[in-house]
Amino acid sequence: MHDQFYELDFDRIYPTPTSETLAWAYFNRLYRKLHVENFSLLITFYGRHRAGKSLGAVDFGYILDPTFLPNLESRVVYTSKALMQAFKDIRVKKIKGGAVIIDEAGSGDLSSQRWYEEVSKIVSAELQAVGYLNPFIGFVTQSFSFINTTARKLSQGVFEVYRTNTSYSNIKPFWIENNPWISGSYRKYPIFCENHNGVASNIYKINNIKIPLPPDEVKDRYIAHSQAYKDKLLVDSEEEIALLEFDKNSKKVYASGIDAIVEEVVSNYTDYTSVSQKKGVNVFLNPDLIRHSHSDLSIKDSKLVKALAEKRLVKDNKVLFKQDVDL
Amino acid sequence: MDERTEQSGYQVQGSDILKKKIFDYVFHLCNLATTKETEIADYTYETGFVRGVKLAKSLMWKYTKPEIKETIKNIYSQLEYNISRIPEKLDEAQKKLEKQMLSDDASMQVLEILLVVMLYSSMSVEMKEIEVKDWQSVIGKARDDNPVRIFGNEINEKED
Repeated sequence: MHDQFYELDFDRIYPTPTSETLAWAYFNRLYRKLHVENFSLLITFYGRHRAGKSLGAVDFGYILDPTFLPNLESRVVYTSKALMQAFKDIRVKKIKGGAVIIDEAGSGDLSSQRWYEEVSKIVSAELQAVGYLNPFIGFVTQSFSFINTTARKLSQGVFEVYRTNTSYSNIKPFWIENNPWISGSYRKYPIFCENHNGVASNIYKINNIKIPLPPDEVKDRYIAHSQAYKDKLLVDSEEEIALLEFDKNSKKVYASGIDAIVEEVVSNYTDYTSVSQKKGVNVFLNPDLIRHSHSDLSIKDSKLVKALAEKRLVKDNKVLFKQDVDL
Repeated sequence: MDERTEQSGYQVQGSDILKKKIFDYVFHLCNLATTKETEIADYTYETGFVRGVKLAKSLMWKYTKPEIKETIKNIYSQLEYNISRIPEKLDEAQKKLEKQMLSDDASMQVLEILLVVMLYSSMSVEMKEIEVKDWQSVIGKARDDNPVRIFGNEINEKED
């Protein structure tokens, strides 16, 4: 008689992994990429405001890098200077798999349009320098449209973060693959499967990571650190607004300056006239002569002064244009 | 950006078509198993269903784990043994009916096993959500130079 095959046997041969065991395997896979297989890891976290992108990125750093928590304030960076410092620190201390989170990408000292362009240069250069230490770099940004083609190729993973409640965030962990035969990139979910005596088992695709708020020690330190930056951002914004106000006033002063020059040109218009013999003989105000006397004026402004002055002169009947003169 | 996921069906490999055909065939057998069976010919006791299960077993062999292969082999050898024990004194029609009954029973067992194999084989792809529940256990398990074993006692082969 053959042994009866029971459901119990199937459960033994095909045990179903839980969401928690898959989380272990997933983070272990990332850890081994950095520490065993000697790869570096660049991941972009994006999503709407307050979705938990930054805390999600900090969670990844916290799990993957044992040195991240003690140096949290220097590893979560907002400016290019801090970024360079973080890389320098990793290089000096020879930290393998060191995590650096570039938070609020696009609102730091580099403008959003130029942000990825500039940062991709810095990151490419730094990757050459610290590449052998296999860093984990996490970009945190609100809009995926910030990412240009170069940066898209730089990011190996693009993680879409969203939240439906206050207890945890959801992350869609897409890997980005580039197709060398057709110019394009596509996304795919991470895949896990079991291989037993050469027979592959069920394929699991990870389509969502449920990640809770980090432990208080991490969360509190991150919030304090980010708040300091946000306060600075507020001060910078105030300064910027003050600067804009100043520029506006300067323009007003400048405009009144042009009026004064026009007044002067009208009073002494004979000093600025030239004669042209094209299509008869014409007398006109020469913008080059105006600039000669008022060297601060741009070419555009000298033409404006000429136009305004001619208008005034015609109105006052002080000079006749397009009139034959006796030379 | 040319975004396409693996679910989009943009690229279909030959092996994917084969897998689909195997799925279709096994479900066809399920249909046969629940409807009236037809005899193939006078000279054999095997019905279309019995032969179909044998063929499906061969198609699925590549995806079948050693323990299950062993069980399937046992079922068929047990069937042969049971057939050999049919009393000689029975007339031919009765013998054929007896053989059909035994082979149908064995084929049903094999088909049941094949269904489970198919659903847990690499042919089927399951979407899974992962969850971080306990920080210390995740950190402890993640920071290991050896692969984490998600399926219990087996070594994982992971791709991404």
